[in-house]
Amino acid sequence: MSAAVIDRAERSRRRFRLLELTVVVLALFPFSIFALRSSDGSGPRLVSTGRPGRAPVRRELTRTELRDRRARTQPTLADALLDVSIQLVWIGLAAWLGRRWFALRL
Amino acid sequence: MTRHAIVATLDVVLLIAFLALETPGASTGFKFHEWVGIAFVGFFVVHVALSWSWISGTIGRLRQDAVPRIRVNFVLNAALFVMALVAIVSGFLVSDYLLPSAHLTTSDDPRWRNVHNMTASFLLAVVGLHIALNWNWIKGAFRRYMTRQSSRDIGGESDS
Repeated sequence: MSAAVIDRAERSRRRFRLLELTVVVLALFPFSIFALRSSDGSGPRLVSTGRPGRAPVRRELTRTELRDRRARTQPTLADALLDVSIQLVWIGLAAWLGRRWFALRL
Repeated sequence: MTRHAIVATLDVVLLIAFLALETPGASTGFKFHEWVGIAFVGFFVVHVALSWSWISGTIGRLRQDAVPRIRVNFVLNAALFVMALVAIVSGFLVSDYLLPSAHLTTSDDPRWRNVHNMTASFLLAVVGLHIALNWNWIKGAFRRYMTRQSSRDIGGESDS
């Protein structure tokens, strides 16, 4: 087998592994972001209301309710560090994957 | 301070502000989030203004036969610009503290909040790709900073 064929096969193998890794990262991204948004209170703000014995109705919090809730929950330094670290991991992962893709394609 | 040092410092400040803005509930609190957002707009405008020669030069090169790397970099930066713009505008639209305190009416529509949150979340990935494409510049800037520091240290030792 010629060197060019081996090189092409190697590149194709690398590309496939990178594609697998990218798919895994892309699949995990929404879950992580949803967890991040829910934990810091900037995500969906649905509350269940309704009378006892009846099916609960889900609705968005009003602005006043939102402000009250924010005033009650004070984040700690550990929360801040954890959230910033999670973001740094995501930025780092995107940068690492991006560099690998760009090295293969550009 | 050289232009290069100003650009590098501004980029670090932008990254820190971006990280603080991304998790308002845990890092800044929602009231301060809006103030940091205003500061971010200022830094963002200066960042774009300082990159203007690159932008106009790249547009000129795109009209000719540009290499794929330049095209990808331009598309990525354009996406980053548009997404940042959407996040900023939607952020102003759903302001809960700053604009209402200036007696300006803002929207309470959850759809605008979703637009703001979604663009902010996807910006994480695009910022990562932006860093990836400019990695050599970042590495060079860091190396230049470290070399200057070490030469200053050597200078300090020889003085004493």
